[in-house]
Amino acid sequence: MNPATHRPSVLMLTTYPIAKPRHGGQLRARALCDAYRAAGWDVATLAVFEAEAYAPDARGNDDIEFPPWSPYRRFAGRAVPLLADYCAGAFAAADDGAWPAIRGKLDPQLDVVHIEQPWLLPLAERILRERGAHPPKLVYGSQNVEHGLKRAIFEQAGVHGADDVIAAIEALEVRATQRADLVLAVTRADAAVLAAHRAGPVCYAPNGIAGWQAERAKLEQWRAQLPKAPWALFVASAHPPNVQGFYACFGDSLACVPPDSRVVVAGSVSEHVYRAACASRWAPINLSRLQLLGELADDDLAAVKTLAALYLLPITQGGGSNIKTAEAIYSRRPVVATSTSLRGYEDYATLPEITVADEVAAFRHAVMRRLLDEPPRADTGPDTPLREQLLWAHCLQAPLAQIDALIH
Amino acid sequence: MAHIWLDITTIKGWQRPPVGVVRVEAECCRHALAQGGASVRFCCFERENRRYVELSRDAAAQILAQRAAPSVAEPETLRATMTGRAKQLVRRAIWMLPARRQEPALRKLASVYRFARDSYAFARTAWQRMHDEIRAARAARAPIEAAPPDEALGTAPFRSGDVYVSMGLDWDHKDLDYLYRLKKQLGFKALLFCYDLIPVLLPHLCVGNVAPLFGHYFSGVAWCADKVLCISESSRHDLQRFCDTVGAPHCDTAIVHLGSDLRTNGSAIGDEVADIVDTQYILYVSTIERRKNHEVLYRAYTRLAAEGIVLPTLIFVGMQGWGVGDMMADFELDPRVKAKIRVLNHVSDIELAELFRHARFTVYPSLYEGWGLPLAEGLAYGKFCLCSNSSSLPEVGGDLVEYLDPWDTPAWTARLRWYIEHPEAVAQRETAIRERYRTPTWDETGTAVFAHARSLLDDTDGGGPLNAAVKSAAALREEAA
Repeated sequence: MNPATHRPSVLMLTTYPIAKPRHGGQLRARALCDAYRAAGWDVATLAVFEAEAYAPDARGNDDIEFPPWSPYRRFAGRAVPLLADYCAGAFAAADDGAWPAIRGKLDPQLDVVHIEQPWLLPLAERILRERGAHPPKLVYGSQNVEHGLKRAIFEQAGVHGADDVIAAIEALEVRATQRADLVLAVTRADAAVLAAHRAGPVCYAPNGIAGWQAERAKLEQWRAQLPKAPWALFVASAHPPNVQGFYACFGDSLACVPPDSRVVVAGSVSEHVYRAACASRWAPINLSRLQLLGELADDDLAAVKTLAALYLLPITQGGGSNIKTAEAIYSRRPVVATSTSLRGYEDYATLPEITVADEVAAFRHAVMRRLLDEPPRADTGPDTPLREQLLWAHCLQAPLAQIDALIH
Repeated sequence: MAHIWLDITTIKGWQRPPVGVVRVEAECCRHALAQGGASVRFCCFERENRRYVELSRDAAAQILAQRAAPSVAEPETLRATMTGRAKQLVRRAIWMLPARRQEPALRKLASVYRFARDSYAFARTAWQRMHDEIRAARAARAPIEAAPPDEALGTAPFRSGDVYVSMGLDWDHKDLDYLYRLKKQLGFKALLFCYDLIPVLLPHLCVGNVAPLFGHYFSGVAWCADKVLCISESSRHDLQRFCDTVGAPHCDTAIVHLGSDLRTNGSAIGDEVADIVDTQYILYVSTIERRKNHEVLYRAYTRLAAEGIVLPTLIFVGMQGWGVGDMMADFELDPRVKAKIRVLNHVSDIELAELFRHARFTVYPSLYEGWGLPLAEGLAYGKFCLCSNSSSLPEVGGDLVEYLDPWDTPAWTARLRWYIEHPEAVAQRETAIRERYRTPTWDETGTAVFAHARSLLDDTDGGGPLNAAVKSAAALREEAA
């Protein structure tokens, strides 16, 4: 091999396809792959994913389904809900699971195995073992303190008697942190937690965004469909904390929104917001203040994000950082956010258009005032240096340099 | 010149003599016609066409005249006449029989009559219950269909600077989200009413799942109104607490007391009421529904009957409402109180006045009220009241009546016994009422309403699309801090 001409190669392992990224995990994994390619790497992706959760057109050619009827869906013989991600690791590495299919897809020349989130560590470890004396480097991309997040999800969903599950997840995270040659953390707070478990480096790799530019035709189309009065945008995936946070911040009622305005909801969270609105004591108020768009194509979402007068970041739980936070800050529109949602973006909290509100009354008041008053204008210049730091290219510059240093 | 627009949609669509909320709108309409002058005009909302239209003064006067009270007495007179004739015919038929057969025939007829009456009562209760269930199920299946935020606004006669006044059954007849947008576009002000938030606070005592719908309505009031007139401090407090709960903006509020002068023009008193006023009775004027808590009086009376107390008749005057079918059957069938509880409805104003005048005293054990008009009416006739201590009722009765916990059956039993056995105590109370109680009149209500409307007319600051008086609870706390 000629080091001068050798293109480094990386295998990106995830528990979700990234061919058509929608939720935060997909977007981050995709951005990492793009950063690798931009840095001259050959990138292969492989997802071991819940078959029922992703449409056929969202899957990559090498992605492998984790069937719902697989015995690996059970934890210690029990059917535990909301745990397919954790269980995918054992399935992927098992001889009677996905390993025979995966082995056939692996590139013989592999410099780095990159796992996003700890779930596929068993698969990564098997790949490293099978490579013998010169295994690829292992990069562990942490997106959150997963055992804490899973505990919160279980509590919200009413899943009891799962302490052993939480302990297993925590053990997996610690093993990934200790085993990896490099660990990436999305926030400085997470980096401090992870650093306590290893002697090696933990690299701060915040979430970024891709930026967007809406087409004129799409803007006109959406302007006709969205309210004429200033309205607020909430974009999120169906991740349970997103719905819970939305109604927690509003105190279960959207009456603070003027009658001619709306909270416009985009993303897979839409259906869950609707169901929760119908079940609420204040259902007619809430339903009269919601406009639900569902999942949008990229160009439609770009137009909707451009037209929004106010961004809402009602995140109340979970670690990590949120890509939607970065998009909201980048938009230069007024933002009403919880301090949890600004985790990883604390430097931006003092911008004039950002209102931090952690109590229900303050959150409602901020939304009402922002929708009634003339919003303060932030920098009107095209991208200020502070906002450029939100883009993926800037966020992943240092991590890619450290990964590159692993193999050179 | 700016105008005050009085919305009379409710009385326009009302087919009976005005009561309750409808009465308030009718009395304000009467006041406006008599004293409003050219600055007061009339309108109504056509919900199906989604527009406001002006009504002329003549049209408003005609609507009001058609809804006047005296016609209530006429069906009652007719019924009394028909009942009397039927009784006469039966008596004649019995007299025609041989003497030995008259008594058995009478007993047989009485038995048939009781069976028919009980069957009718049972069928009516069952029908009412089924109707309530159907209505509740329909309401539960049909969530609010919010109009798109930018649907085209219909026509309206209002101009910038005008004041729009509405006090009717707005939760049924109006669309406040639509009014908000219209107000924002045309720049007029709105004076709205708050009677009570009972469907929001005590939904279990209301038919169907009405709490969410009323929640939407009151949030609309908060957004639309430049000022809200509340009929009591209790209602004002409830409204403000509701706005805090749901996050709706706070707006200016004021208290307006409802009149309690009865109109006594017109017709004769029917036989039934005429018979009653010659007896000893305690009077409770109210619709018969769970919130009004007739149950506590029934229970107290069963205990008093068991004690062997000589009891005056308990007269309930009011239409039967929701969820009381079983209790009504108990009144009929419980031998302990059967002859001691009587229910009257379709009572005219003049008959009601007579019932008040001749009652030993009144009772008002309601669980919750926005004001308590019958309590005020009883006081206007100088009558002492044994009254619930809940919500707005102490504002009505002051220190002139005695208050009890509406859930405390032993207390009601004890105090009923006391006042039944101590008429001198009742007389003392009545003396104090005669000396100190001042009856608020409907004319005063109308004067107050239009004074508030004129103050909004004169207030050139604020109003328009953005309600200058809108403050959220958080802003108020910020300012206080």
